[in-house]
Amino acid sequence: MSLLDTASLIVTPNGYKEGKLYSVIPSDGSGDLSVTRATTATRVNSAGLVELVPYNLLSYSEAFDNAAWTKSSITISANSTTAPDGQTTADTLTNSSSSGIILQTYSSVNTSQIVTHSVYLKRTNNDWAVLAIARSGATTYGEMYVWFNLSTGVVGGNLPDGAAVILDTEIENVGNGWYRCSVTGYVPNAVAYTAFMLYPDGNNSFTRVTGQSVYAWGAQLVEGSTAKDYQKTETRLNIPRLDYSNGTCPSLLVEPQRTNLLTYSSSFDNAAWLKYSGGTGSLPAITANSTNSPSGVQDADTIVLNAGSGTSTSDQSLLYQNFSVTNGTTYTFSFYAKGAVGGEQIMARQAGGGSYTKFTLTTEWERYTLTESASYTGNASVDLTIRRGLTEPINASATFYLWGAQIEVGSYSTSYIPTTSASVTRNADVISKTGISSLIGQTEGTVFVDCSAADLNTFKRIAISSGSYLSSVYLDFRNDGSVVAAAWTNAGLAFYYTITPSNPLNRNKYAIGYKANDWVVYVNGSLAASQSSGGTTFSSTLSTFELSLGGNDNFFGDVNAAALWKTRLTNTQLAQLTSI
Amino acid sequence: MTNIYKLTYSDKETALADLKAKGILVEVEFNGEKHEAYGNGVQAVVELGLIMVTPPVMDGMEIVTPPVYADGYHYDVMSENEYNFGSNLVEPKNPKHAFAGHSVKEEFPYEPQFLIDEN
Repeated sequence: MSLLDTASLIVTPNGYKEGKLYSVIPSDGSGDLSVTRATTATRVNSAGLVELVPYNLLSYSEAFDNAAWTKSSITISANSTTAPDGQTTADTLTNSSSSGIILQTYSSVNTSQIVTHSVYLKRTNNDWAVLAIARSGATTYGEMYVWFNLSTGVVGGNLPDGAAVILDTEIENVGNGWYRCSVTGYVPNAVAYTAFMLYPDGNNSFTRVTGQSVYAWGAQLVEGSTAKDYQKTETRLNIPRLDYSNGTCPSLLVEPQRTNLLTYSSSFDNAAWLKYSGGTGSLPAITANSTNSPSGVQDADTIVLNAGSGTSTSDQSLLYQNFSVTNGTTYTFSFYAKGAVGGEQIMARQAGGGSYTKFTLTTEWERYTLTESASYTGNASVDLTIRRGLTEPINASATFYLWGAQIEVGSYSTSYIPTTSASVTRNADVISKTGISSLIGQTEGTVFVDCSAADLNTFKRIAISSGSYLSSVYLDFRNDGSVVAAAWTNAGLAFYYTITPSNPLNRNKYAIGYKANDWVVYVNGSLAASQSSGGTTFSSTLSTFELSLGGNDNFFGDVNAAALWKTRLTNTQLAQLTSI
Repeated sequence: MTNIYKLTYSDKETALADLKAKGILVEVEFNGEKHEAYGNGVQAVVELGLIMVTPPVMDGMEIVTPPVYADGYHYDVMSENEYNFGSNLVEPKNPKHAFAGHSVKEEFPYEPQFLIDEN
């Protein structure tokens, strides 16, 4: 039996669903961590791409009876037949009049973004289904309709209406009478899309007959020209993020609340991004959605900055956006860029409003960051420019690709938060498990965490507790850069040691062993502190494991693993457990 | 259940006083140290502050006409709890802030134009 087999709780970034990160031990669900964020977010996926979590833009993808779906003259019989995954979760959708339709709108896609709408469909008493994508608005109108024959498994006719452009259609036999039908297209300047379905009586027909129906399951709308693997959704809001930024093994990404203050964060052709030229310079030239971005989707823009032949400070080509700043507040600007040929130089500045920082681009996508503090309250701008005479030598012009601009309050950048017409907030990741006193040693035990902190500016805690710090064992990543291992028992602060990993921002393995008169802390395979006094009688039952303490002082960073034992492991075992 | 409130106050101090009075922002103590935190059920408080409704008019990099800001000092609150904010609760037609995964503004109901025209 290995050491890990004796643990009462092991959590690694592995299996998950909305609102839950599954524990490895126990495997019956009783140790699954609760994940709350109440917003979507992004991560770096296993392919190294920046991905919206979830990438399926439709909510309640298997529950057409949910209010997230707007129904008109369609009745839903929920969970009425076997779905492609073998579960009885597919619904029957039946026309209750000649105007039956079901739809859902997603309203925050990039301008003119190509999208793909897919759904699994199966014939009941009707051969035909129409899958559609639409956008209607004051300046943009476009709808695309595609007919699918669920009896023969072929794509029928299609109708692009208004400005809509249909790029691809597909029907795939997935067995047992089920077909995955999809349509790919876009509407120029659209910033919102509605995915909808209807069930007519024939090819190229909109006539719907009362009582005609189909089976449906697994609706999906994604950015880009491929349908992607189907991803089940419910609210879309509380999905833990397994992030692959650091390599092939994922870590659990736990981030604070942040707001991207920039609008149209990947649409630099939008009027929100101002273009200016001075002296011999030219206005920035923008080609929208010209190449694949770090998301793998063709939604990055080509930017050409050309300051011309002049070499004075008035000679410049500038792309910028205004935002409001508060005196004394620190802001971090981040953007993804790569050069057309590599070696291109561009300059940036933001809240500081003073000198520029020069960036040299490569032919690979990289995320560049610039942190500055505001020295006044009011209007500021984030500038991307070539301006001569200030950071010489610098090239007179540069052609590069740009995506994912972000300004956030804070001293470091967090994961990308896409925006369109408004600034957008990603809430903090809150991760905990309550009611697990049976998994926590009440008089002796071991707490193990393999993690890296995101910053050293705020207090961050990882703890087992009663829900209050007054009965707790915890690791405290402090705002002075130190890390403290501590415990509160009925005698007060029973154990308190400052330990010194070489850098808490790097990945470190920590373990606290507790037993009456036998306390110990190990870090990265070495004894960091020990104490041969102090009881382990806690005022209240230890019942909670959380990446915070008592719901406050959330830990932010990357968590590679966490585990509990109901016994204090031996020093040899602790050294083994925490070895890097 | 998630509730999103868009709020306008006369100034920041008035806003903070109301948010604290409602238990949205609370003071917590840990080992003798006090700091501000969200109350139970509160998922986010976003200080929007002054909202620019008209950007500055620029001549090159010089501001010719300063930006115009909406009246008041603004916050967005997301919470599982329900609150009565009275006249501080607003419904902007073109919101300047949203929460990720939540619509900037509601697009429903969408009525397919082609089908309407056909009928």
